Amino acid sequence: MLAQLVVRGLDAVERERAVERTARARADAYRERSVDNDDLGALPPLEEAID
Amino acid sequence: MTAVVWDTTIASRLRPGSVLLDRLDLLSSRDEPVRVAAVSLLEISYGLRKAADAGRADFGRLHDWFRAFASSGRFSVVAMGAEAALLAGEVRAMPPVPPVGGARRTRSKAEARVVWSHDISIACTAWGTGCDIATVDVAHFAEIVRSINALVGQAPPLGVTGAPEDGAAGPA
Repeated sequence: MLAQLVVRGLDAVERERAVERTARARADAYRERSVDNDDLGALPPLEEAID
Repeated sequence: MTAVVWDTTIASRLRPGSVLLDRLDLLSSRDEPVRVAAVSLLEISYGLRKAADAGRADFGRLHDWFRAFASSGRFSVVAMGAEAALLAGEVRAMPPVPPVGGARRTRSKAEARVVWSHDISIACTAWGTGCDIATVDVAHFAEIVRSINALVGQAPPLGVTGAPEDGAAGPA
């Protein structure tokens, strides 16, 4: 019984770690799409695009 | 098995004594907490309050129950971080616009646009928290999921699964 609880707890920890790894990988992939912020040239006012 | 975020079509079926509530508590007891997007709480609270204000006292009582339930810690409320929010904005700017027809055809165009925007937020919440999305309306979310996976092709893809009755929304 105790062994089962320990195994279940370890499974839960591993599941949460897998979820966190996926979240990190997705956020990293999104950030990698960003361009270098040097030399962007003249930029329009941001609010012009917001309605 | 991949963790999932229950969308509004599933979470809105929670009520005292429901099979879904039993399932939620069962998953929680197995250390597999159910996740619901904060935006789904917004949609549910809106729907219940609107119905109550229209004279449906029973929905008012359900709203009371749901507000207490949402604060009980029996499920996890998840929200978007920076990347997910930025991605949601990009998806919102892409076609398609809200699909016509399906289970939501009774809504006005304006309401359909709001719901579409909320669904994008829910899908991006699932994406950003490392989960898939579980929904009654798989076809509706499939469009959004396709857009997300196309925009961030290098990322672990977002998946969409059916409702608990179909054997999804968490391990059996």
